[in-house]
Amino acid sequence: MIIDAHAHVGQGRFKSLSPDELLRQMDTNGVDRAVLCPVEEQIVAFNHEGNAYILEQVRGHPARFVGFAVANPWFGQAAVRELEWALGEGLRGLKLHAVYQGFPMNNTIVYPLIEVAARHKVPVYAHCGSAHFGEPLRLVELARRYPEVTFLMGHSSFSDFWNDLPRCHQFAPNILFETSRNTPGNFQQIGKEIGTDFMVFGSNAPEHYYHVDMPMLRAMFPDPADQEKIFHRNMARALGELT
Amino acid sequence: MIIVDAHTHLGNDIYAGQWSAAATDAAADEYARVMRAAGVDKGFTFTIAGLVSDPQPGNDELARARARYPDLMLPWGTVDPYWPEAKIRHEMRRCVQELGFYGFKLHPWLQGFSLTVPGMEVVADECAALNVPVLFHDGTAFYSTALQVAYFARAHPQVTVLSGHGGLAELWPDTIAPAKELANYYIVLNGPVQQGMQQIYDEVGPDKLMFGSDGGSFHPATVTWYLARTQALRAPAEDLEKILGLNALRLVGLAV
Repeated sequence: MIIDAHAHVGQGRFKSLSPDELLRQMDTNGVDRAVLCPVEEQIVAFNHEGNAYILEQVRGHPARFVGFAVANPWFGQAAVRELEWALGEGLRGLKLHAVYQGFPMNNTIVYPLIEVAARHKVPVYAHCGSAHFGEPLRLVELARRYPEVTFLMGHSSFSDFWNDLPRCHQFAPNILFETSRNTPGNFQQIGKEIGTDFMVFGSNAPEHYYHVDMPMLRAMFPDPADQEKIFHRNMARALGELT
Repeated sequence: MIIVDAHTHLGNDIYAGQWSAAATDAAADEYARVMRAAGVDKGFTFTIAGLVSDPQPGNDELARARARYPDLMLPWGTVDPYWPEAKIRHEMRRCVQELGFYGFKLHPWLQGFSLTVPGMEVVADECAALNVPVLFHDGTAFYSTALQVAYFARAHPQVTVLSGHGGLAELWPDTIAPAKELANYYIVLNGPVQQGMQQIYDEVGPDKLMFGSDGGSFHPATVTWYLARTQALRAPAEDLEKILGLNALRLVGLAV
């Protein structure tokens, strides 16, 4: 079983990918399931449109797709209501993008949304790796405040925050490190200093190709037990499917 | 097809438990093994230790390693722009005229300087006088943004400037306009997301782009992954041939 922990579908300004094309790529590369998020306009402004679209895809392919909801914290109570609705309808996580949505990741503005995720017992994926708003230690601040929530650190904070990752893990063991965008040198560090129990494979499709990235991760972590954790078990646990 | 990796480092693998990144003979042997296994013919070879401590021993390490692997390594030196002017000029001339280096690699955030400090005017002046390029780490706030490097190129049209990472995962869009506008600005495709690599190629064309991996001292997959990513570009074979090797050779005057 292979789960892609982070993919985008829809028609965005920067990212465009149809669910059918993603399914074709998944089939070609042996990816069983993918966690879907909306595209950038929907992350920023048109949250409901994005959530409804992702719900439609998940309902059409329940064995292949899991959906994460978006809600821009600047919408305040409307964002809380939107997230409650989306999770109630069957989406299974919250995706935050502090840069696109325009807030420092640890700002109080996002607390109400994390509290909704906590009540629903779903994970929170946070884009990280951007100086200032998307700094990984901001996610650590958030994760320490909500230790009961599993957070996914988007891109394992690529680009150059690799120095901070062991400290992030030291102080927030409820963070998993998602692999998309990141590089072998940094996986070497994460594997050695944090461990494969905390790594989660993601593609950030359509940004990257499965057929290029998956062999690299397998080459770096040749132990089947490590691969099982990175490609499946850790994300399945985050989704509450495994203990 | 000749393959040139335009961004490599020589030094011990600090992730494999080495305290120092100093380039021992064993590190040079490992570099050669990794590059040859990946099918890389030549590498623009940069120091690691010289970027985080004294540049001069780092340059000497590169010269020693190149003597061991003369066909494989094309060394690029480094300097500290906070040195006195005479020392910057002396070391740059030593690197090119005595050691036979091909250019200079500077890493503003690791080395702790802004591209606007006075010493960088000296670096630019010597690069122009010696007729060698300079490559910068880019893609990182706050000393190494893609635009900071591009504006160094804009301010010094007489110097050939390489964006060493194509702006990495987030700042790559900022490399496109300078690459189209500035004759002296080139991009090593070592860091943009795959979709970004493709967009850079689609908009800039094949002539100013180079394959690079940042490999040589890290896990061998660093080289093979970036090679696979570059080969996965949707581009005709003659363009890939340029990006994978010919452009880099031409840049340092080795094109046949």
